[in-house]
Amino acid sequence: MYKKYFEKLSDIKVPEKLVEETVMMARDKNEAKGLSDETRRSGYSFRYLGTAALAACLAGVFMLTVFFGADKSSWQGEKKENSFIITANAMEAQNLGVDVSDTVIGAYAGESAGSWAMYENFEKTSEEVPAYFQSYCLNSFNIEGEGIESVTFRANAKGTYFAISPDGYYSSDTLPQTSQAERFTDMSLSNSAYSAEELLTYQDGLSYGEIYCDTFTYHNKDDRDFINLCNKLEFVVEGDSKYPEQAACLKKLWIYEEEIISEKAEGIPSGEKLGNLYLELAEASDELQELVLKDATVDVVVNFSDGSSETKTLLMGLLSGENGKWLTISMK
Amino acid sequence: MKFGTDKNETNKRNTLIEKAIRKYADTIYRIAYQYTGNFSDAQDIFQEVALTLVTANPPFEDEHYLRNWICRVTINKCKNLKKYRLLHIFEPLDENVAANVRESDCLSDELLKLPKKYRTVLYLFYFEEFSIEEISNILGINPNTVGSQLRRGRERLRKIIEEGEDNCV
Repeated sequence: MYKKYFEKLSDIKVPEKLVEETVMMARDKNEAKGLSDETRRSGYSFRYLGTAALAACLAGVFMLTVFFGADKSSWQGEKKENSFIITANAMEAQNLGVDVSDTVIGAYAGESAGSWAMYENFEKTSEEVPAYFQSYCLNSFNIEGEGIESVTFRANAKGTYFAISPDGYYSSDTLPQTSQAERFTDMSLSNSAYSAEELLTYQDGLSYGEIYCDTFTYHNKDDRDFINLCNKLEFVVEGDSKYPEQAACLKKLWIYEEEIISEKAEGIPSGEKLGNLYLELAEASDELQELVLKDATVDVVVNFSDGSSETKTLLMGLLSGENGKWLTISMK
Repeated sequence: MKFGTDKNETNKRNTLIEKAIRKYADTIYRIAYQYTGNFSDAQDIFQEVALTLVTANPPFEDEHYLRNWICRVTINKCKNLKKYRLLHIFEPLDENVAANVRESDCLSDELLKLPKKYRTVLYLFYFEEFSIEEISNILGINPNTVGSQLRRGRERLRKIIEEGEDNCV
């Protein structure tokens, strides 16, 4: 039934003149590229070769830096038995214009930096306050160490939690009639004070979803020394209208989004007005997240196979980058 | 397929690039249009994606990969445009151009009310008929998140449709 709402889009076609113009542009660019490659291969441009060699060296140093991680202990050789390090995408973020300090190990794009947030205004209350949450997919977030049996993640601040996708949670079959514990082999929610499940089997036979929780444990059944949860772990920031300061931000978000929708529905949006509204929206979103993330921490508890355990605490915050605010993860 | 630099190979490459541009022109344009909501931006994005075909040199021989790659690049260009818009106040549209960019002409009212995030996932699923795994690769998000967005998008669309029907009565 939903397909029909997209049918009108079939009428949209690129103007033929634009296609021809673009093909010509692409051809010119390709020919120019071919010439420049040839010059390079013939060795005429020694300056270029020198620059390329330097760039390759720098790239090598960068790769080594990424490989060994941003945690100081990995550089200083302090890693001892039954210890672990946490690395994330700090180097990559630095390249994107986020001024990361020594303690920042990861930075993830926020709303104003191009990420998506959900202002669920369709569920807005009578007080005209939308539900709001933004999730950050923690790519390149790694735990590294020997003899790791399990890792427990605990979000300590109100309004912060995780969206996880354990193995066995996503399948094209119908939902098995088994309990969570039987279904999941790599994660458990035994310690979570809050959890919610969003998994449905669609009419088209697909089952997908996420589990929201403030605490979960990853079980390292394959005895891996390098645990990467990038496709399974998202950090969520949610606004709560119970708190007056957050309620004020939520209200602003509602107003700006309503204005954007009505502006666009009129068909001829004023560029300047729309640009300003998007800016206001992103600023209200950042302001709200700063309130939620004030003093927010995440505990990472690693249990080792010899029965010992170690805890590291991560500070969650927002930092300004070239393109706007980013969620940052720092070592406490 | 990697190319050398002699004239024949440049010509061969020109042919492949041209073929890809013509074949995927409407797909790129539609994705960009439903994301940005106006034809002027969609045209800019179409040209940028076409030029990226030249610079990035994707494997032209793998049609399936190429289609996914083109969609992914198009979405990324759209996101970059959004970033740009957030950081730069842009000039109001010329009246003559504006007359041609009424998105309501080509998008139904129901879809207009749907946030871009859901619109994109629903579009890729229902119109381009990508699988959830493929959408996950194109958008760079978890397949489970795609599934959730698809579900939320459909719920949202259903509510919009129901509200519309109520208003009609």
